[in-house]
Amino acid sequence: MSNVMDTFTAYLEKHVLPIANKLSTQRHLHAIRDAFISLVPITLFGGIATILSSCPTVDENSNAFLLAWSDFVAANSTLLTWANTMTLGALSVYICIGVTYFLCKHYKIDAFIPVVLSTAGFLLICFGPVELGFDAKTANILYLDGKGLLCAIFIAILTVESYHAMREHNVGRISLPPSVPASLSEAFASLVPGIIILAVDTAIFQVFNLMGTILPAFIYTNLAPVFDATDSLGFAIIATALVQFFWFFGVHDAALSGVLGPIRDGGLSLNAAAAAAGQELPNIFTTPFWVYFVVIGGCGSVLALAILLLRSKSKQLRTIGRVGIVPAFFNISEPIIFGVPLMMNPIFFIPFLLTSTVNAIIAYLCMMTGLVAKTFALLSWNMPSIFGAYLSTFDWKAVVLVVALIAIDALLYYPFYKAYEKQLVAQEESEEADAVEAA
Amino acid sequence: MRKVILVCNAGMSTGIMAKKIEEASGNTLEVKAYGEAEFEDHLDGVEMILVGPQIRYLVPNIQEKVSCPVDSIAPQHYGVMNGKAVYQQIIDRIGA
Repeated sequence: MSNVMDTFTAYLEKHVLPIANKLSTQRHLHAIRDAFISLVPITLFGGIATILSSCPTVDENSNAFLLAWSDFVAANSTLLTWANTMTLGALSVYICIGVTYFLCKHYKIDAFIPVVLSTAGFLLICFGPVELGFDAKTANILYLDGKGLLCAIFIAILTVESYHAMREHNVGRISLPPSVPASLSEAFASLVPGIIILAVDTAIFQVFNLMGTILPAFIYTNLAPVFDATDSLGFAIIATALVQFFWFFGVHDAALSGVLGPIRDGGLSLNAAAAAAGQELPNIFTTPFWVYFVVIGGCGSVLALAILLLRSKSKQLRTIGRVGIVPAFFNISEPIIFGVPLMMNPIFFIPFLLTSTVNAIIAYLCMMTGLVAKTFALLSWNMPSIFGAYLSTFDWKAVVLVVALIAIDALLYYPFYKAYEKQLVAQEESEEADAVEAA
Repeated sequence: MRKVILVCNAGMSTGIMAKKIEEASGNTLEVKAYGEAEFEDHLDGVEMILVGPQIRYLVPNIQEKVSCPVDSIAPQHYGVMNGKAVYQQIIDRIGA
């Protein structure tokens, strides 16, 4: 039986690794992923601003701290909302810059001019002009948050790809005499490609302007069913199971985050904007939902297992529990995944896929029914779930939920863990007996 | 001191490993951990690159970009953060 499973997992690994390689080295997905993981200061700062503005409701019996906090929020609501709106709430601007930068890095071209061009493209296409008088200019910035993400990524890719292609083919390269300094002829070389790109951006703006809209609004309205579908229970289950499946082969979900990143962070930025405006939060499947409620202890939801390992009868498992518990507390699961190992270990295949998926289902249903508040802030994926769950929702019930999920994960892991422990203990005993005999 | 770098997705879990390897080498090696997005900026004087097992599928791509040897860390050493074993792997490859 175990031989059949071993052959089977070895067969799958042979096919999973190339897929992981393809997905994670695809240059656009790669640049998108790097952009998302590099924006920590932006998401963190926006998150703090939202948390500061989310004072729990107070009445005359509240303690002095809460009363002072509530007064602070009342007096500084514009400041706090602005601080969020221009950071996490303007996520698309930074993603546009980030994708441009990392795509340039891939092509090994200097990123400065392309970053300037795609930022200009973003301003042209994603801001909606309202009034452009001489001393009063007003534009709507509705699509700077998660709603503009697709457009931002599109502009970044379009800019770099066309800029790179034009430079490669020397489009509009003005030959200057060799006596002209190199930096000057570089500046001239980007002149024509730059103007062509900006002209295309302007044309895109005009097409939608004539239709009485702007591109991100057009995408957002027409793809509304797709966006709704990515914030559904079914999608949460599929995404979780898929990520876990990769991790079962010890393969990092980086391969998938080029796709999941925009969805999760986009949802977060919309929720943060809604929270800042005091409205109902629209999304459940967000980054904090993922890091604090679904993968508790890192992918594989290994925190529960790490706790079980601490008291294992097997010396090997106890050691791994001790090495892995602290990283797992901070959502780093590699020591447990590679140490136990869970990776490609047929005994753990079922609970490894099941735990995070069950967490996703239960947490999703709790938030959908309003039993637990939805998430609106992300502090850091390394923050232990128990604290992260509270700070991202400001709901004490979220903490109860996380504790319950850890207990459920432990129950799911338990029978499989016990079976594996029995194997290891028998092995350790026979090794000890051999050692005694040899002595 | 000779330089070795570890590469994983964000340089987070290899960060723990890097310290263990430095200890095991008796501080003859300088080991730094970087994320996959940034390691190319830190290649100066690096004699070997070790890749975390979770991104082992990238070994061929990384090898294409650099001239020093590239290996992945065995999962079982990575799991228990066995700095000694990985140190051994390094000196087997590039000599003590």
